[in-house]
Amino acid sequence: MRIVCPHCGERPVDEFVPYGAAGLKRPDASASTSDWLDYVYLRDNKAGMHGELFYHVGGCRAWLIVTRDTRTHAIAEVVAARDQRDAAR
Amino acid sequence: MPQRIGRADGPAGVTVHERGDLSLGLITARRGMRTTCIDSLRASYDLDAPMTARIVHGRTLSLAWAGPETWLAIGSARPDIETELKAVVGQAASIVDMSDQRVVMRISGPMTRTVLAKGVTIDLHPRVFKPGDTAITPLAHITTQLWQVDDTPTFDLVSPHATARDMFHWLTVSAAEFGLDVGRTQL
Ligand SMILES: [Zn+2]
Repeated sequence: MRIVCPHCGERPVDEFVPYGAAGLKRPDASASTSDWLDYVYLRDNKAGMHGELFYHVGGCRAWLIVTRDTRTHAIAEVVAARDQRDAAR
Repeated sequence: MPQRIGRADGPAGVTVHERGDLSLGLITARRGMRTTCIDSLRASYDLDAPMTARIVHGRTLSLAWAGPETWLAIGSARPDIETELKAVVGQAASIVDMSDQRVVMRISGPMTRTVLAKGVTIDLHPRVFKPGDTAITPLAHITTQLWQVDDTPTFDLVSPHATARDMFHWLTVSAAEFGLDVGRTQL
């Protein structure tokens, strides 16, 4: 598997560290136990397009959001996590 | 006289020496201050800090792209590159003196690409990687920044100090079949 880093170009997956689902919203400190349980443990495990955080530790050291199809592992999009966050603001 | 490692006959396929006389500073632009940072570097050094994986050379300083909005400044030995760069960029970037944290090795010679191909996964073919191009990528599993200097070809390899000896050992083993001349500073 190879990932096209928006900063570094195409690189083997072992240059990256996966971190899990992207786009999770951290609950407020006063949120209920069930909200925290959901945030920390419960994942959708969907069959289809799924966004995940990857850290390019062997390259530019940027956090990336890799969107892939969990049924085929075909990667649809790779963006810098910071750019996506800035665009959302 | 350089020390020969590996194949003894004929000219060396690869030569290596440490560029031991460098000052290195890491420049990381603060959030939203990229343009200010680039402008102040241009005003002081007449250099455009590259936004893609390139290295540019000025009269007294070189700037290598080192990640998004991050640059490695390379100069010949100067008294205090951290203070110097802080004075240039002010609040627009954070500066870390890397002079004692990184080791720069210059390798050159006709077999250089063949040897590097044993350690990196990226394509260094002259069609896609040219003088002035830089990359951060593992070399023999050691995260390394490299850039091409000229068409000899010559490359600079930048390793963390802690792993420089391992990288050098990898080089002695990988280049032995072509003959490796080790010049000047021995690691
Ligand atoms: Zn990268």
